[in-house]
Amino acid sequence: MNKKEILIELNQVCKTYYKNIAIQVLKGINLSIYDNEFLCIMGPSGSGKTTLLSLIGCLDKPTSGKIFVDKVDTTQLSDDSLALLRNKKFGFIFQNFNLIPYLDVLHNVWLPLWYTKTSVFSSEKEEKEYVVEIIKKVGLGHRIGHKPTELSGGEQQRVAIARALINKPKVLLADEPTGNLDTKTGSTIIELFHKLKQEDKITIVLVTHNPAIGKQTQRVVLLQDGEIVSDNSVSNS
Amino acid sequence: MKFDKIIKSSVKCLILTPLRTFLSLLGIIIGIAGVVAVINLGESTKEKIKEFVSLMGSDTFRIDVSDLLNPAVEVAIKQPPSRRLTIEDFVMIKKLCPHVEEVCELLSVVYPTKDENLMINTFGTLPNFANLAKIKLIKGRFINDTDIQYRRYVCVLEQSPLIIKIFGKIPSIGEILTFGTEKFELVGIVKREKLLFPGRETILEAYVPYTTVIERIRNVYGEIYVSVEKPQDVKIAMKEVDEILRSLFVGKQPYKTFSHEVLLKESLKTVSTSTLLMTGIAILSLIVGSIGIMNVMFISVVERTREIGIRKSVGATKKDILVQFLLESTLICVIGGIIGILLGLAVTYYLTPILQIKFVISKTGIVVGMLFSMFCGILSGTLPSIRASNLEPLEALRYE
Repeated sequence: MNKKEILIELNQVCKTYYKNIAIQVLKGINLSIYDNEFLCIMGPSGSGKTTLLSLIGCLDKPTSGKIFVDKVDTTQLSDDSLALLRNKKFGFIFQNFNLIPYLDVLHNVWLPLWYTKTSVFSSEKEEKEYVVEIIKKVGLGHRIGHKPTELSGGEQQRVAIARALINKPKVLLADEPTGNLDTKTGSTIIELFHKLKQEDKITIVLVTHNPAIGKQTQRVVLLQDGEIVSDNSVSNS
Repeated sequence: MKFDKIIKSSVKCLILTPLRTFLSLLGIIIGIAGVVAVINLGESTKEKIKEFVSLMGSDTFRIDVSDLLNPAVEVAIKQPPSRRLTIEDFVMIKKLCPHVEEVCELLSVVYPTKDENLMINTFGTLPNFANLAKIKLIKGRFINDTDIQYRRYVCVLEQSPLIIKIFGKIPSIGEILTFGTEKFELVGIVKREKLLFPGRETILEAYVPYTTVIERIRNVYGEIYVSVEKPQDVKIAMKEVDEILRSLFVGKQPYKTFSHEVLLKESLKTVSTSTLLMTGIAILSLIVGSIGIMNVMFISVVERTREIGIRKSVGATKKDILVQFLLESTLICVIGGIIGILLGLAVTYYLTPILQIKFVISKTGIVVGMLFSMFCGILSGTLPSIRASNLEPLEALRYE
């Protein structure tokens, strides 16, 4: 595993929120995420899992420390450069799906392509065909014209996965992706992640409470009170 | 994000949230329609006034003697009887004022017809009115000196489709026509470019000898028309006539003189002032409308906080969000503006016949409407858009 290239590196990352009093959520996190790794971040509520995932995905900035994505120090980047980096390198999947309610499946999945600076497609028709292909890949070919409210929880999460995949990201960041789903549907989503890792060589960082899901991943990082208390890749190495 | 995609995204958002879009549109539509309708009606009224005043022609002026008291009233309030203007006075004015070409009085008497919607307006006048008002003879002759001298019951009709409606046919010269209870012999049919008073559709105009009218209706006073040779002589001729009238009505001034120019200027000034006032009120309603849009946009930003977070998480920059929200409010205002302009024009179109004014499409109204709607869109969209674009992605995503 160590031979693999480091894709994301966190160096002494701290995050403190200031609301009347200072709350230090993350305390000096050091973490390396490797290319095509399936990493699971676990820990009790309030341990800082979601905050860590947001910092990795450049949705938030650390109070101190450095975060490198593809060897680029993201803490030095402007808001717009971070937006472009999110568009190009990351795909996000949230517990509550975060789909735009008035857009149908097709346009929800299409959304990240609207913000891509240089399109690889020669025409809008070609772009649309590609979007449809991705929707079919997550098994929702028959739901293209449906609004999120017309879909089940599992289907909504598949739409979110399709949206996360549309820009062929290097990293898929999933925050409790099965939290709002029943066990069976949750399992199919995790199976889909494994398939994406195998077939598309995508790095997956997943935040979960569920130890059963953690067992299915290569590496589990355990957070407690804003610190990494165990990392099975480190103990394995 | 490419601009065409931002436009598509904004349009999609407006179409897919119809109630929000409709409520935002409503304020701007009413505001713009108000502005356009008021400006258009103002222009239409100005046109009507120009048309009406031009009836006099720029080489004529008018003396209003309607302030002369009714002799019966004079007796009642124990005032010595006022002096009246006579044909002899007109002859004297014509003689003593070198710049005056013709002087003529018009006395108007309205007669009902069998059809209660239609009327005959007879003007008691002198032969020189034909020349003064540039009347074109179609058939027969105009009032002549003999008619005046013998106070004949003759009439000249204005050519109009109303003739058939009132008399059932086009009467021939020499035929006796009944106006109310009076009988007049038809001596001619004439045509004027424009009629003397509004209501072309319901009022037939006819001319009768001045002396015939004055004999029957002693208490009516009309207006005196004075024509000059050249339009530039109007001012000096007015001064000359004024001097004579002063000498005729010593110590009193029961008359007012109006030139075409002064009347036009004063009327247009009144219309401009009222149009300005009404436009001001309409603009106020437009401002209220745009505050409404700002309100809706602010609510929209709050409502769509999570959406903004989603867009930012998938790569939208601050500029993308700013432009999208700004474009949405501008689109609302431009669409609202176009609908408002059309509605304003429609309101004017349906109101002009009721107000008996000519329908005129005012370019100023359209330009002002369009500029105001764009201005309101940008103004009302700016603050909410800046607020939306400055939201932190994580904060926005967590918004409940």
